Amino acid sequence: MLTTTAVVNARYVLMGAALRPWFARLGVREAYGGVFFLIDETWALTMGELTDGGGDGAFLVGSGIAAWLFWVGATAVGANVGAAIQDPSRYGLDFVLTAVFLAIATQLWEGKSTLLPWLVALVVAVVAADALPGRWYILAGGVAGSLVEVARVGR
Amino acid sequence: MSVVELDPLVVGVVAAMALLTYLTKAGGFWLLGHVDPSDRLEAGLSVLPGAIIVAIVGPELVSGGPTAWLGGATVVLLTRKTGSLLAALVGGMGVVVLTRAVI
Repeated sequence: MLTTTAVVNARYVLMGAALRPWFARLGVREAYGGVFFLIDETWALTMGELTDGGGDGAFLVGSGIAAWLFWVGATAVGANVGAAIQDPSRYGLDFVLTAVFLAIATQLWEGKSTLLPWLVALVVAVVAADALPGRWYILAGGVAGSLVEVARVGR
Repeated sequence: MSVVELDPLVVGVVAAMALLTYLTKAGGFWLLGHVDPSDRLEAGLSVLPGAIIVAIVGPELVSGGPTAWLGGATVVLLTRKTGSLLAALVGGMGVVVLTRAVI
């Protein structure tokens, strides 16, 4: 069970690394307190905000607290009235996460130079999702895309 | 709802999972504070967020079929045109629901 936790959360190592440039100015307490609130969705929103020039790392903490409140609240609601919604896909609810990530990806798009790393990330992730268990594909795709850029700059 | 008996072992495992989760979150962050990032590393980090998001969404889109592709295209288009996350979300979900009703 603990191994599963480590595997499922391995992608957070990368996300934390990506935050580093913006959190570098913060004190140790703020920074390590901040990463506690890191989850997929708020991380993505924060990166969108930071690359937009917002430059405010507190966004991660604020959105994290808001998301947590909604999460716990919605879980309580779901446990009580969830049976009333028999098929979430009828309302397109299963598409929400994909939509949010797509919108953020659109904002992170920086033109042609982004194409190659993203393409590699996509292909590797799709292949890895079939070949590997759990969520390793996120890590594999992210690292692969990043390595493409490292190689490109190194030349 | 009845009161649940708390098994110390269960509590322990949950606590350990929480700790482990935090360590992964802080781990990557800590690591980069202890190496001097070169130009290449910085270039890699700059595309990392997008690459991770693509890696999260890609497999889901591929397995999602035409409804997800149409919905996804709507989201990208609306984000570019309006810059509003909410508009893109509502539009994308609308297209997904509509195409599912048709197909």
